[in-house]
Amino acid sequence: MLLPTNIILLFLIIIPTILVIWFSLVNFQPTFGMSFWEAKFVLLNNYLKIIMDKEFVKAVIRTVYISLICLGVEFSIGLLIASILTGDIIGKKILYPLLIIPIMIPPIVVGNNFWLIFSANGPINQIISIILNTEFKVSWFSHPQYAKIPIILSEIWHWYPLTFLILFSGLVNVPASEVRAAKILGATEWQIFWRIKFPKLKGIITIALVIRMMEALKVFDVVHLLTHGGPGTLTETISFYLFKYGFKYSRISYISAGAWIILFISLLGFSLALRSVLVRRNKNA
Amino acid sequence: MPGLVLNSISKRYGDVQAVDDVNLQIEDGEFCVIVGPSGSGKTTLLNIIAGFTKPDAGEVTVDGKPFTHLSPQDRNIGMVFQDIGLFSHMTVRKNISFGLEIKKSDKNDTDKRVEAIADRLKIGKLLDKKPGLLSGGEAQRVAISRTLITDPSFFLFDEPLGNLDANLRMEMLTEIKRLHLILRKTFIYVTHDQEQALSAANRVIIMKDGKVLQEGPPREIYNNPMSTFVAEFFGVSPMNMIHGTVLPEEGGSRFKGAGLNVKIKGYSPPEEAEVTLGVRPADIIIGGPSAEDGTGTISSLELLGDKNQIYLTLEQEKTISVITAPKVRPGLEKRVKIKLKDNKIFLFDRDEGGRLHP
Repeated sequence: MLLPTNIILLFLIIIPTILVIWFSLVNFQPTFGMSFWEAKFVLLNNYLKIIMDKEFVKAVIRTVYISLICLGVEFSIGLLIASILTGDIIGKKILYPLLIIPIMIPPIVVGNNFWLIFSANGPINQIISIILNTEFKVSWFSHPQYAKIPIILSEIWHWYPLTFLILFSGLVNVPASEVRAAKILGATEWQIFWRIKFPKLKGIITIALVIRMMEALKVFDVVHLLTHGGPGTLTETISFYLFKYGFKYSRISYISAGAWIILFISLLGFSLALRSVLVRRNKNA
Repeated sequence: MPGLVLNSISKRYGDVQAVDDVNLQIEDGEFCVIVGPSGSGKTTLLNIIAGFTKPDAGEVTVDGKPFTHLSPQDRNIGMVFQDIGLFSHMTVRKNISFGLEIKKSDKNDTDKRVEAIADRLKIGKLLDKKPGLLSGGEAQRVAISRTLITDPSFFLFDEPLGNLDANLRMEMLTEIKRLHLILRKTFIYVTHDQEQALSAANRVIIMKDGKVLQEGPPREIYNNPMSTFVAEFFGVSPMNMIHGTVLPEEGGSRFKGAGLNVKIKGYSPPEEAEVTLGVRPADIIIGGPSAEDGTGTISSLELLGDKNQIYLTLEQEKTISVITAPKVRPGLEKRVKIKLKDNKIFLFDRDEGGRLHP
């Protein structure tokens, strides 16, 4: 019976989607005191307004920037740990669960911990003071340049297990017979990695990056917990920007248009990335 | 001058002694087949030669130089595996050239060698295909080509034809033999199929439970098995084994068992003993004037064209197989007299399996 599922889908996805399309095309704010079906139809006005908003454009660029840094670092860490764990090392069984703990911790705990670690009297400042041997006291969350650092670091710490897990499963599935054949032909470990393992991982790497990028582009919780988008708007991400305009200033129509723009850009990017994977699959078949 | 020498090699996995104090000398250019039932340690031994497995004790030397500490990369060995292991993301051409490309050889030279090797193994048409599109035999040809390109000093084959059907297996075996004739390099070939061993090898090494039981040219092992295991295991038609006792008598001894009463010439045991008599199916004669070693009932008859395979039931439900010329065709259920060829009778110790006679 598909009917119950379809009803749930209707209420959870289809109706809200239609509503958001409607919101983005009218001028609706709950504070105006009128119902959304009475709101004035303004066509693409909201879209134009939000694209012209420098704060929005900056939030988009900033989010992509933060995401790419996180992605690059997480990917490198994930690949490194995955390659180490596929080799013969002692304590593998203990390391494996330990290394994936971060992904299981709720974002609010991660955020609070990083808030404590980076607070003015927190361990980070103290450790740097000891290393530099002078008093070092930066208020990380209100510093115009440094405020992004705790956000990026907490994201990396929280999410590197995802890329690690995906890459690990990919590496484990590289046929042992091919690795042995390459060895006996004289290939070094380095050559085996880049010529045998890595090409086989291309597809799974793309998928890992796409999944992680989708998450990274939505980053909200740590921003909310650590900096609140501050100082000023210097750490506002797309989600935080939309949250602020939508739920603080009640500009529902405005953020609906913004959400559609983001969705459209993401869809375009991700489908291009995934298409390269699917095309390669078909060629191999 | 001995090429590859294995000196007291041992390897243990947990409770299993996979390889137990093996000593071997394999000379340059030999086609040496290691044969044994599964679990006999033959693949472990091959992996020790290849460098994938470190022996617990003993050492491997090549032309007198120590080899044991080298990694597989540095041994300059060609190896063909049962699970082939072609690089599935590369074309056949890239698979073959891999061994040279990682050494950053000249591109033109590499291309020429790939073409030459592909011609030799008749896979020239496959060069631009991916391994996923090849048949089992083609894939094995590519795997062999891939090992040839680095011009290794010797070749290891780990049950390379195990996944092929019977016809293809014989074809590929012929190919490998031909290659050995051309290259004149040492081939070490592991298989559980003694038929392959018999037809290809200059020398056969029979392993069981990690030990080398017997080694030598296949003919010699066939004609001269040193134990019941070798006698039963080696040869297309296994030796018949009949339990009984041997009694000393004037001018030799007499074997009695399963209704047989056979004069054994040239063997005089000090006293009566429990033994196993071994005789090849082709060394039993049915009928004739001197057939007085025993009587059996024909229980089954297979006419194979060039020969007849007959199963005879002796006393105590013991069945033996006999191979005769096609014209000898006794009827089913008929009782016949048999004669064992005098000089083809073996006696083995019942408990230890060691050979007593001749």
